[in-house]
Amino acid sequence: MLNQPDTSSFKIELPVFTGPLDLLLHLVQKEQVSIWDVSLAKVTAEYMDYLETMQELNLDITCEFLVIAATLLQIKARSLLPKPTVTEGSEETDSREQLILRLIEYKKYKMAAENFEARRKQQATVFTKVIADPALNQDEPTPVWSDYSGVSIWELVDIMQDLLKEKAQEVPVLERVSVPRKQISLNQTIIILQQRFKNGYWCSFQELMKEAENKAELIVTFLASLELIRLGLVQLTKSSSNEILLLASEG
Amino acid sequence: MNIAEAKAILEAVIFAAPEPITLRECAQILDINHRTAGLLIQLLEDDYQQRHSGLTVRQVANGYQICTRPEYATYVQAIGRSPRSQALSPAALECLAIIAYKQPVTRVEIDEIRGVRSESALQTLIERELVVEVGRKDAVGKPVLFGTTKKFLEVLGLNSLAELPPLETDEAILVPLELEGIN
Repeated sequence: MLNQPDTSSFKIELPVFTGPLDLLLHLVQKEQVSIWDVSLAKVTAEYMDYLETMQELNLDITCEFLVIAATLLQIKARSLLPKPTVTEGSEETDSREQLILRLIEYKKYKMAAENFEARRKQQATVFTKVIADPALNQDEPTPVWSDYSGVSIWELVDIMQDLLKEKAQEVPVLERVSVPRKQISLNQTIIILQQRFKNGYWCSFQELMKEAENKAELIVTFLASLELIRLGLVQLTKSSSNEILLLASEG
Repeated sequence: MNIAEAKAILEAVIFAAPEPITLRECAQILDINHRTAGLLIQLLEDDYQQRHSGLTVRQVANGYQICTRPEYATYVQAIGRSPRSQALSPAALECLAIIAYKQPVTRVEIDEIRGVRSESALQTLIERELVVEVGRKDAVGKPVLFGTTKKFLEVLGLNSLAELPPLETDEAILVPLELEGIN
């Protein structure tokens, strides 16, 4: 990866995002109301925003994300149409209800999944003697994002989305002198960050991203830090005040 | 054969068994009844405890296993042993949870709950021997049914599927996040 300057080839595998329901649940939970009382119109807008951000970050948007998007838009459209006085109007509540029931069902398993991982981690601390079967002792690569002290990809996406919005609002200052556009390569950024993250250096994820002067730089910084995390040179963790931190890995 | 000897034999057998050994097997080997075997294993565990051993006997996957105490994990890892199980991706974990609670279950049924295709997650679980094909559903196309394995119980430290914690209820899920006291 370090030898590949082409940023379009940077890709995060989809399994990291467990799917559209995961995203929807995240958005609903952000509202801090019971799932039943959530304003789907508001959540729909945010869902669409996310798809856009994902696209900008070069994340694969599979058809499943679009299916839920279509369902959300359909519910929203129905709610905007004048309600016929006949009982047909119940169709709208039906699809809303169905979607919410799906979310509830999904959340049950998501919670169980989190519980499984906690149990597994705890159990991983006991050792039995090594059985002389090489197949059992193969080191498998640890999946990215699965084990970063509770920092989820969505939290990073949240921060990025806010910053991207901020950047979009900044009106570029018109300059009289024409300045050649500064080229920021992903490779360089990775190397610069790698230099910085030496000898126990750490900083807040958000602060690091804020250093970017423009949108392009912001995205490149983001991608570079993801790459360093993937390579295991930098770790994600949370401070006691729940701020997301990046810190140099030991050794 | 006195108690001390029987205990020693059990210790040797549990130690050498490639995977958790059941009470039945223990009883058969010593030609004693289950209850006595269980008692002897309990005594063995007490021995370990009393002499502050770094080892312990744990009950898992409907069997017994001798393993190191969790508090010494960092020391064991220092000699190069990697944790017994590797982390699973969130997608694989979701998939595993659905299979564990709804087994036997088809891939399409898993996909429906997750709202996304689970092929690769399922593949990972099969490769890690956490789930396995358990048969075919009597439906159109005879889809494959999946269920969890003994290894699954071991990895999660469960003695049987009955020990799985119950799923959250609808009521618990409907409580808004702020009331759950999370951040």
